[in-house]
Amino acid sequence: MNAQFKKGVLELIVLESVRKRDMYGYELVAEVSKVVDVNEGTIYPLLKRLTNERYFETYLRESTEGPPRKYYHLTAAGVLYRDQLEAEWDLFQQQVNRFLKEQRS
Amino acid sequence: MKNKESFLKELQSRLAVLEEAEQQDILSEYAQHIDLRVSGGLTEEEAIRDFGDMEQLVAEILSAYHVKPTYQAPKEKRKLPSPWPALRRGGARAAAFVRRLGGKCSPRKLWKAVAAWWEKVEARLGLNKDFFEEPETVDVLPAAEENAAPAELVAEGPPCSGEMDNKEAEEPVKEKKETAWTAVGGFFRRMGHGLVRLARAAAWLAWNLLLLLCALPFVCLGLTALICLGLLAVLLAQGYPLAGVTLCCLGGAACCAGILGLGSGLIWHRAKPMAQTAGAEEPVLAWEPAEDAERGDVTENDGE
Repeated sequence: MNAQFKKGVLELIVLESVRKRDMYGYELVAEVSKVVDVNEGTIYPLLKRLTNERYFETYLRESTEGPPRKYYHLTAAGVLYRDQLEAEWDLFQQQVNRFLKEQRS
Repeated sequence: MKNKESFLKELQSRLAVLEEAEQQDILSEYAQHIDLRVSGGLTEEEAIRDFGDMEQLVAEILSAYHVKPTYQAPKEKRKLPSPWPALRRGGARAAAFVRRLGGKCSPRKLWKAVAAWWEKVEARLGLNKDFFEEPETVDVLPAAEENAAPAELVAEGPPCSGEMDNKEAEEPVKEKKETAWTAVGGFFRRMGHGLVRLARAAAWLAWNLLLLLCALPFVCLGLTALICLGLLAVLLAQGYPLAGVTLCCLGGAACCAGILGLGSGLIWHRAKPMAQTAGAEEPVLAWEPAEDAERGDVTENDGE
């Protein structure tokens, strides 16, 4: 898939993944990879940015194996941002689809 | 080709612009990711390969902090314009200012003013005492100083006060009173001078002690700065990046030296106040002729 396409919706997918339950980094990468084939390295910077912009809160929780894991939790601002992104995505894909349909007919 | 250690090390060196805590946070995240991938059956190298290009990765991480990814800390030392001419000019100006300031309100000048004031007060007090008593005591004072026979002058005194009627009755009492008062006046005058000298010595001691007290911290600070400067210079010669701290130490030492140098201009030397004592005594001499004039009046009265 086109890397530019992925980049655009990656934020929405990450936000949506964390909305249901808090996740730690690796888990989240695995979750997102199910939807889009993405370079793993790029998800961590994205998480960092969303945290810096207060859409995520992080906390440490002990794990049964290895060091404690950093969990990501979606904040109220994050939920609003996710809804906004979804609305934008809906509008965008509708417009693109309508255009493609018009061209075909 | 690349293991976890070297990957993390390189990543950290690229993220040097970020705070230490942030660096550790990011590194621990990547380390954990690699560990989990390895426990899932991949090799470290494969896990790292999945992160993609290092350049791009660093650029994305830095963009999360709104840091320009192409920014690199400047390595070459910037050449500063030589500070000496400006320093010398500034120093000369400061020295001139302090000298002017010292000329205006140095302890010596201050002392001169205080001494003159004290003499004035003393003179006022002495005159007032004379007025409170009786007018004739004015001529008694100098007479006592000249070791002339006071009794005669006292006897001659009353006519000028206009107390002719009570003269005979009051004379013996007055005589006693007046001789006592001359002694007291002389004592007070001598005590006044003693006090002045004592106060001067005390002020001298206090001022210089205060200066010494003020100078002590700067001496300590300057010595510390010098020691640090020496240590840092050695380390700097060994190639540690300590140029800034060394310069700070040099500046601190120079500041302390400068302050001490300027402060030494405020030391109150004993020789000068001695020369001033002569000046300070002038007012005392100045009002003696006035008494002589009054005495002259008295003798005129006697002539009548």
